Amino acid sequence: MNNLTLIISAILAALGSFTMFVSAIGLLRLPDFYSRLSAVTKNSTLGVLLIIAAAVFYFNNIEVLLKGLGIMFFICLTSPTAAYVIAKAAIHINVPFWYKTNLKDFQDDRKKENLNDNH
Amino acid sequence: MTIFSYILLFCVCLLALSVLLALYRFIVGPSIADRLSALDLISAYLIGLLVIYVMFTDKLIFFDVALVFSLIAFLGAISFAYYLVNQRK
Repeated sequence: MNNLTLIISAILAALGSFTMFVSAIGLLRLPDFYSRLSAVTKNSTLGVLLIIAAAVFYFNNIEVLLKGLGIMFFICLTSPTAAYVIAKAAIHINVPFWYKTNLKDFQDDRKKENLNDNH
Repeated sequence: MTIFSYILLFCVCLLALSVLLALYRFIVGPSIADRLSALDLISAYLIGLLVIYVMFTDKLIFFDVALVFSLIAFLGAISFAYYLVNQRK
């Protein structure tokens, strides 16, 4: 194990944990539920990917590479899906929007859906 | 301890602080969907903490734990969203 892989691994791990800390600040400070959800899912996915890349560089091993690719694949597949389902459920139970949110297109789509349902 | 261990310790401290901030949102969150998103975030933090623990102690078995836990966390989020949709009829 040489020094260059240690340097790359340390930089990737620090970047990943900093990204996850930014997502925690976003969860704490943003005004309504939907903006908080966008801060949570994108940043946490990127942070996990960076930390797993740091582990792959550190061990320098084919077994760890395959398992790391598996974790990356599952995270990339499941995290946006879970965010989509949570947002859909929140719209269904009428979680309130922020008062500055531009809701014109959303309400137009709601009207179109109601018209289609009536026909 | 080498410099690399200190950097990993710093990462663990940052992740633990993030878990505390997410727990604050989990406790005071106005709606139940806020609590659900905070739970999703805490599961992502646990995966990151597991991988950094593997780098600390060289116990490669915990990679499998992280691999399975990513799927279990997805299942938990989906089932809670199903409960949110179907709770009031």
